[in-house]
Amino acid sequence: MNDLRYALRTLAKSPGFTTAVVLTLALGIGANTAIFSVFYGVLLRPLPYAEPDRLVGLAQTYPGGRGAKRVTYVQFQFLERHVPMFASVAAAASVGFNLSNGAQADRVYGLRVSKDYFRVLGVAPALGRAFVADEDQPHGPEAIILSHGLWRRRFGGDRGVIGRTILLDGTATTVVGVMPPAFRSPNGAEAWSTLAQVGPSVGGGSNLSVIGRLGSGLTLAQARSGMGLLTEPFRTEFSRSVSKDITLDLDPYRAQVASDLRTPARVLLGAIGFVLLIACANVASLMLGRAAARGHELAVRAALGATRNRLARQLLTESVLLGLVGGAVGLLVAGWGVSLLLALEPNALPDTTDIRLDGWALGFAFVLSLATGFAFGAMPAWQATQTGPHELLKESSTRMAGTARGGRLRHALVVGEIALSLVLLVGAGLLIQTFARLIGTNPGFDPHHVVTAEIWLTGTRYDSTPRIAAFYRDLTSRLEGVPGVEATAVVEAGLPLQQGGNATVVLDGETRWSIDYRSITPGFFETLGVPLIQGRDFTAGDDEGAAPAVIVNESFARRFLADRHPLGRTVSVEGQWRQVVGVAGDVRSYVGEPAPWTVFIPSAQTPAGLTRLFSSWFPIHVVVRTTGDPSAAAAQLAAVIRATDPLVPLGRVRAMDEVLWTSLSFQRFVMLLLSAFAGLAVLLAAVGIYGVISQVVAQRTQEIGVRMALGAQSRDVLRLVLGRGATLTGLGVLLGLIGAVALTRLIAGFLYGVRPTDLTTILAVTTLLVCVALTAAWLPARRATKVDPMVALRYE
Amino acid sequence: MIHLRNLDKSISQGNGRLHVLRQISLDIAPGDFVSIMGPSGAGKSTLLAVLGMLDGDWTGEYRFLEHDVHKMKPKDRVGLNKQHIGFVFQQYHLIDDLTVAENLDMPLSYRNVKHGERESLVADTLDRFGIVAKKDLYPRQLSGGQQQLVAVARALIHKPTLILADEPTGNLHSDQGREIMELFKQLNAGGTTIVQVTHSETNAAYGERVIQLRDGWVVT
Repeated sequence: MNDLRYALRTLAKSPGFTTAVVLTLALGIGANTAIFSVFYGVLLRPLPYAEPDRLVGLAQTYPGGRGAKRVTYVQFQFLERHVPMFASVAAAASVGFNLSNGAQADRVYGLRVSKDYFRVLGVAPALGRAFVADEDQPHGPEAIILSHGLWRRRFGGDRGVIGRTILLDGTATTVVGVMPPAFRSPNGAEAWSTLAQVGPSVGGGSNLSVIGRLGSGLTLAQARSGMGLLTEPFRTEFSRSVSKDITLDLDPYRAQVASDLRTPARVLLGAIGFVLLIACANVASLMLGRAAARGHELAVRAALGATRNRLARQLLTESVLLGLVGGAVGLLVAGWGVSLLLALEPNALPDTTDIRLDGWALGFAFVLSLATGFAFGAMPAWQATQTGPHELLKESSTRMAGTARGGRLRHALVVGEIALSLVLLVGAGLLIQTFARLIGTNPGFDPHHVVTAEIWLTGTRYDSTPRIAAFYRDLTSRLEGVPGVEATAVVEAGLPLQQGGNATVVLDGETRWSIDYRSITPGFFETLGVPLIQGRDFTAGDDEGAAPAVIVNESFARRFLADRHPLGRTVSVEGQWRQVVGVAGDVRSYVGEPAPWTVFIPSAQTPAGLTRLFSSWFPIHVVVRTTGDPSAAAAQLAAVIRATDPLVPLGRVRAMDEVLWTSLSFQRFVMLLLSAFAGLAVLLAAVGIYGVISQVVAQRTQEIGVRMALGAQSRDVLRLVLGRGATLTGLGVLLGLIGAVALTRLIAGFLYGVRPTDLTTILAVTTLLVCVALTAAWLPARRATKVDPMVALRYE
Repeated sequence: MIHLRNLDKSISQGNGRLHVLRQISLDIAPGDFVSIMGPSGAGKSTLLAVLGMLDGDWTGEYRFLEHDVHKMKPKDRVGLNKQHIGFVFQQYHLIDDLTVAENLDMPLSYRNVKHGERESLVADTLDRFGIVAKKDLYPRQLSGGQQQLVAVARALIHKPTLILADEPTGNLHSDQGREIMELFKQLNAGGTTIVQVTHSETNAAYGERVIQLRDGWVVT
């Protein structure tokens, strides 16, 4: 208690020092706690289901990697019959629903699930019931379960909604249940309906994810073993559609839900850990300087009987106290940090993510506070106890003996800080380069002055190709009459720069799986500014009565049609043979990746079933090129769509520039964070070098006075002091470059168009850091030139 | 009590060594009041630091009470120091951020004395030295003489058998210095062995023996 009381008193006596240390630690601990909250919420927090560690998802190992395995409906039925290792098993497919009460339609994201879905998750509806077996049949009664949020928002929280009939994609559907408020599905589903009714369509492709609850007493290893035995029968049963190289396996469901985020989360946690190390080094340096100044006091205590352990305990009490106070203030920083992180990038996180400052985050902050207190206190404590009390008590050496050793340690700490800062700077620089290149990459079309709107056409009003085509004609002709509109079109199965639909294509007797597919109206290429390389665009004449046509993109033609002229070749798309009438320029789905092989078919020749199928996953997009301001055009576009059919749900209306910007949101998020960390690190390192050089000046004041009395000019003094700063900076840069080359390989997966060892980036950030460090050293060096030789010679 | 035989201490200086103490041999009996005198740089303070086991970098033989200090490990020397020796410094060396009472308490806390007993000893010492009214003051609020008084009190609070005083009146006025020396005399009369380093003949006269040091050698 004496040590604690004394620590409080001495820290209160030095408000400047204490504030500097507490703020430095608050930044470091707070930022780490915020990132930990994200890391824990995304990767570690148990999913909000019963016994979440018993939940597994179907996985596959396949040449090229491992990932969640999606299956067809028939394949799921096979698995359902042959997986005794599961107590219960279910399948789910992401879809969109049109909910309508006859006067108004809303689009909600949902899941089509097999009957045992909620049983697998171990969560029952709060109102009503889960699905029963009869409802999950191909011609079974249509039933829907609502999320709590949708129930309150759309149905006013009315408990009488159970048993009510609503229109789901135009079909009468009974509301049978409402889920509890805390329940969430990974894809943000707000409604669940049964799977069997759409098995042949949605489940016709590999679109179902399979999850199961392990049988009682069964371990994951045992279940995996059982699953492995099923691989061969599965391959045999589905030999025509399944590769012979796949192996069925199981992964913990938790790992599957956030698998894409594991690497970036770890990189960010590592980067912010660097910032904390730099903060600790700064504080350790401050503590070393302070311990040196207290060398006399420590010597007296040693002379009065204090052992080294006792002295170390006293110093560590102070440092741990500082750590805890810094951690407490850091919680404020963490709170702001979490809010900022969530505001920056909520869409990249699975909906089951629960990020908040809870007991785990508080515990992390507490442990980190203790650990940093020990970390930055240990070195000064050790250093202070190394010198014998007798030397420290000698009047002339009181200030010098302790500081000589402490000075070397402070120099070492600053070199370390500069090295770590450079590693972060190089990483941030590479990501900034990557982002700049992504922004500058030609996506294959001209996104400027283009507006898009999301719509969905489902139900009996749009259950045939002619009806759908008529709607598109009506809509586009109304839009063409709007002033400022240069061109307009409709595209199904996804926009450029978004994940889209894919189809089975056959040509030359070979089946090609997962070719990118779009259904478009005439004018699509003109509207988006995609060049037509060969042939023609679709016209109004490409309707149901005309010869089936297809346009392919350049990559497709180069890969599959290079041996002969592409025009006139026949290609089967989803079972329909079509003639190639044009070759369009490549359009990217992801800016950082090459354009996929793509086929386009006329919407007037698209089977209604395909429109319905792809509409369940992707909005239909109306695209308009305008001469005017896209935001004004957006309002006009929305108005025309509503006027054409008020019962067609209208989703987001936004400029294509925004779509492009959104497609890069995750890269932007990582870049911004790492740049912020690097900026913070550089600031801390600059403070560190400023402190060390200030100490050098203070120590050598007498020497500087003597030199000036003997004729040294200001520039000679500057050279003397800055030389020390330059040496420390140089050593730090050298270590940092070695570290950067070794560690930036970890972010190679995030880079585009730039290598981890890009020389331009490394030179640029090194120059920046050197300038900052030398500026920080110049400030105290300049002070040294103002030393009055006569005052300095009387110093001591 | 104290027996030194051929005690040497040197420090490295450039390419050679500087001999601070040379072949020191002396005996000090319990109850002695000895003054060590000599010019600046003679090695007086160093000899005192060796006697007080604050400096362990020397060769030769040092026997304290029944212990061969030259054979002991540093940790054991610290234990011996704690048990028997009190040190009074020329610059007082009070801890600025501790009150008078807390400064007195400090050596007791390093000797694992229980809290209640420490409080009692501090109170007794404050009373004995007439500084009860000053117990909550900080050193900067005291005069030089008062600070040295507190320093002497601190050196004595754990009832050492040997007091080592390095120029105890060096920074005091003559009246204050006389008070301190009278106090030492009283302590010596009570059986405490006192070894002081002093430049003052007046102060040396309070003791019964003088040891003269010149350039690290004992000359008398």
